[in-house]
Amino acid sequence: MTESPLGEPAFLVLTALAAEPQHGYGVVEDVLRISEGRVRLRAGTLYAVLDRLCAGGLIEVEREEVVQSRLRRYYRLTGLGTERLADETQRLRRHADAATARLRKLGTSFGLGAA
Amino acid sequence: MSGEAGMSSGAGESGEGGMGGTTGGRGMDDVLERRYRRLLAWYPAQHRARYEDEMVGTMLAGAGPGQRWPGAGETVDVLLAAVRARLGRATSRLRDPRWYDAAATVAVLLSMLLVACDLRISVHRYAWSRRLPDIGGISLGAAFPARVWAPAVVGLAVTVAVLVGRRVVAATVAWAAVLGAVVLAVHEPLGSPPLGAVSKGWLLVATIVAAVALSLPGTAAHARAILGWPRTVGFAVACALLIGSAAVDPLLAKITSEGRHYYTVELWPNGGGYLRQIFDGDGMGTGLAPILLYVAALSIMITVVARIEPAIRRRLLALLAPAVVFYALVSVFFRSFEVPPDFFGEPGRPVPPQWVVLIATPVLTFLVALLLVRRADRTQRLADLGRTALRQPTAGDGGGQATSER
Repeated sequence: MTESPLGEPAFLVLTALAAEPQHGYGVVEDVLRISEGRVRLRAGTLYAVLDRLCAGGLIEVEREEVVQSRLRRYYRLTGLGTERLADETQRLRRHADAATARLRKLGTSFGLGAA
Repeated sequence: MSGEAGMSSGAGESGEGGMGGTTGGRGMDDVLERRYRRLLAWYPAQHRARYEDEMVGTMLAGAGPGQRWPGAGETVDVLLAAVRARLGRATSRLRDPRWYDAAATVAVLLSMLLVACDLRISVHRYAWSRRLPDIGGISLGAAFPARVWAPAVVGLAVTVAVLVGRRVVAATVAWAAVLGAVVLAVHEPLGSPPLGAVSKGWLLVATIVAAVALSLPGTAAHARAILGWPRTVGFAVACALLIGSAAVDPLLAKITSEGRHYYTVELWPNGGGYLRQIFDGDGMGTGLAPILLYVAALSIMITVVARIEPAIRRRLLALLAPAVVFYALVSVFFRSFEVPPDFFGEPGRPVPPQWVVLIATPVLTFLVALLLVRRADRTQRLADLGRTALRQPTAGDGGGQATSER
């Protein structure tokens, strides 16, 4: 069965965790960097995504720490998560390539920005 | 990929510090933390138990210097996520395979029961029309229109389709029956006996439940596995008794004609008769024999349901509860919509608040039933755990002995 595409927040969270295990706020900041300041995940969305990805076995808790008497939980990508991120990246690349090719054609036919 | 709520432009909203890095001091943090926790109270308890501390840490880390209140954006984001979490939990509970099993069983039993109820009306009227062919120029045969017998035919089609495993056909016909009943209810004078929208509303509620149950996958196979043929046949016999009971009174009643418009109908051996104008035989009193048949039919039905596995049985009862409670509600509080207070007058019409009560009651009943099922599941789980613990040998006795013997 074909899996449904990941949403943008889930894709960005997986991308963030592909670098190294990170805690919630670390993911927020990393996603902000990856998206060049465009996407800032809020807590409600972030933890809904983390919960879903955990339940789907794409990420897991690596370790827990208590910092300033608050729980900090580090998440890491699982093998399944790595595979899923790779598949999703391929899918997006195919779509992006198709869009690029058509835009190029469109640009040529209108005499705009032809490669 | 589409953007989603809960993501915002990063500029201007990012907290400066790391975890707990607000610059307003610990007191400020405490106030904000309390407010964040109050906001997180919207999540289900299970979600809070797992993520609350972590989420508070993340939100405090993202808070701006001197911030005392959760931002509007993050408040909306948390509230929406909390609602989604609650809805997700509710729907995941309903995705429990035991609900599918219960729905499958309900689909089979209810379709048989509904056809019995519809056929009862037809048989009752037809039998009386044979006994009292003409009253004061009004032919009882004329009071037997398609609207009376059509539901029985449709119900029969649904039941046959279910029993031979044609679930999709059964579901389609059941939904068509729901639609037809609604159209009839809208076009008929409200509350007019005997097809009044209110007095027969429980049939509509039951038909909707049956249609929903039939729309779920695997109905026929599940029901066959749960009920088996002996219980299915037993329930069918009970339904046949219900239908047959409708013909007993017209067959056994002692009828004496008194003038052009009136008959004395004696249903009980010693007196027990009464004088009334009869238009269609519906709403007649009941004699002894039909009551005995009712009791027999009901006993068989209760026995069939009682032998179903408890976890499925309580779900089955939860699915039946809306129709049963609706019936009880109308019988007790909305009787005047079926039989007018002065008998020969016009039946009442519900006013808007009464409609709200009538429509909300089945929904609320189902929600209450869901809670009761949940509680019963928890009790059963604890009881099972207790039994398992009692069966397991404790360290140092049976277990230790077994180990040493090996």
